[in-house]
Amino acid sequence: MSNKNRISGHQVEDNKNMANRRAILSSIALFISIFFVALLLGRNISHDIETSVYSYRLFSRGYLQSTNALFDTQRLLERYLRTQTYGDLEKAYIRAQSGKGLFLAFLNEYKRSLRPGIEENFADQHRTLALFSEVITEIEQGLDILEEEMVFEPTRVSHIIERIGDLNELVLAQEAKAWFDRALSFDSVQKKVVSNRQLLVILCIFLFFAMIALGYFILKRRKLEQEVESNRLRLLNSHRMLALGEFSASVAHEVNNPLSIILWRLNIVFKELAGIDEDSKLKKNLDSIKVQSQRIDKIIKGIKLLSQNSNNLDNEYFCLNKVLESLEDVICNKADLYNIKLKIEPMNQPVVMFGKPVQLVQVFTNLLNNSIDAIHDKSERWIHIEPFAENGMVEIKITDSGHGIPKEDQREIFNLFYSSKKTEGTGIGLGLSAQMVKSFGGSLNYNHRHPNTQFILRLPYSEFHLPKFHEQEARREKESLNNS
Amino acid sequence: MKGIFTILLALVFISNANARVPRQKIHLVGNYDKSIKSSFKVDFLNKYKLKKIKIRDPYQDNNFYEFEGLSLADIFNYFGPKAKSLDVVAINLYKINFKRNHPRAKKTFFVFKENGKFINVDKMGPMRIVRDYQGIIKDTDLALEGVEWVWMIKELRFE
Repeated sequence: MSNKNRISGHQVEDNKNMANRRAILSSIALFISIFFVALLLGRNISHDIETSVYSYRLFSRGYLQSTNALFDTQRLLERYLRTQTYGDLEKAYIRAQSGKGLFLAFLNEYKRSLRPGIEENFADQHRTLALFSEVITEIEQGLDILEEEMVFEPTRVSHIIERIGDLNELVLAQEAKAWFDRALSFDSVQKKVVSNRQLLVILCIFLFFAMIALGYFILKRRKLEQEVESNRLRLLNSHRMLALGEFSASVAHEVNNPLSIILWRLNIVFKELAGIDEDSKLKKNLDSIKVQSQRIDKIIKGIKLLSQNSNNLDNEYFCLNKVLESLEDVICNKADLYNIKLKIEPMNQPVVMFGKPVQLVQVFTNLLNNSIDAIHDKSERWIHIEPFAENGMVEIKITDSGHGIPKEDQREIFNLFYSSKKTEGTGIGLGLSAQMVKSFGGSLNYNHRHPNTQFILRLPYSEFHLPKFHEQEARREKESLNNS
Repeated sequence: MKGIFTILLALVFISNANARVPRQKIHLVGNYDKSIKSSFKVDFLNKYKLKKIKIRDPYQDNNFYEFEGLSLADIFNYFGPKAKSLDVVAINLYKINFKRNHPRAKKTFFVFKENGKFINVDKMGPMRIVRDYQGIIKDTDLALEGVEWVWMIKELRFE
């Protein structure tokens, strides 16, 4: 049994450690996952902004470099018109090529900076490139003409200059449109940044509250685990007490048989010594044996009464007055042991109830035992029981010389498994008593207004039970006569 | 027969077009080796010991290209043996400066042939700078890395 307890104790400890580990791991996992979400969001935002800003500037640079090349080409062609030298036309040709090359290179770089999945329409840009090629081809044709030592007509050069002017306007118009589009998308990126920042703040707040909630639940869980562990120990104790009760009942039964014989034989001896001198030593010794034997009989009856499993008994009509009288037999020995003055007031009228009298005896015994345990080491030691019946309700006040129950314990005393006795109590006494009283339709309360420790037990009764009780007793007497 | 003749003619025309040397000349300025002519077309460089490198071109969709040209170290050795630095000027007057002891002088190449063909001006020629780097250059790194990748070189100014 003890080994088993030790093993189960270890298991409980292991479970606690495992639960703590799990709680810590889950909180770390929660923290890391939120941290990574925030990090990814942050990275995404910053990457988006960086690439957007860079690519917008890059694209604009491409347009401006191209228009610069076109202006330069125009200038060189105009110079060619004045100088008519091959070199100027060739320079114009190279500059036009460079304009196309720059436009193409920056366009490719811009396309590269777009995030995967984003499609943009580059039809205008491709049309521009085609126009670039046409202009370059026309200048190249001029170069070929000059290489063949023919005349490249000035009207054709002027026509090329005009075409370059048109192309330049087109490129600048595209640059303006692209800048407008970029401004719009940059604005949307900025709005996205703001909303993502708000999301991050919300996530942080959520994380903060989640950590608090987690901490709260971990503490709550620990408290519950402690309660479960303490209840488990009390349950074990109550099982031990139950086993002890059963053992006591069997011992009481075994003692009762020889005791009955002793009392019977004593009666015979008293009859045979009817004429003996009352003051003789023999008579006095026999009287003493009889008194002590009757005391043993009372103790045995008390044990038998308390150790009965009340759940297996049938309901019956019983007199509350007799229950209170029987209390003296059950508890007087313990009260005498500690020199406690036990006073049970008689009922103001006969009260008959229907139920299990043993349960009421157990309730009273429990209350009185608690009182004795509480006051046995005090200088003033008394217990007072005052019943009073009126209008179908009996109110029984059980008061002892104690100074009340501490305020923090008052709410807990009727909870099952609660005990203020650190190591001795099972905690099921008052809780079970309250439940038993409830099964009678009554109530058991602690009176915190009384200067001493006082419990008030209220039980309903009916006057119609009295004749039924008499009928029951008559029937029982008749049965007992028949049996004998 | 007529069809075959036409195709052959077209092929000859195309190969001639590819073989055509870009018109843009490279000009040498400053403290260069005066025994070399100051302006030349890129085919002039064929007389030097050229190197071939195969890299992914970040400006052409990261596709593999085989470039041919001279390293920065070779450019200093052949054209400016006494020069301490070099300004590379592009057609659009974009300029970048290289020191003789540039840490990546042997990895930086002045190339003028792409897959065996001259690079025209509208394809970032006639000469451009690339870096011998195996792998793909990240978008975030290209902004700074690309600063030295001069396109459309027209002038080498030695100091």
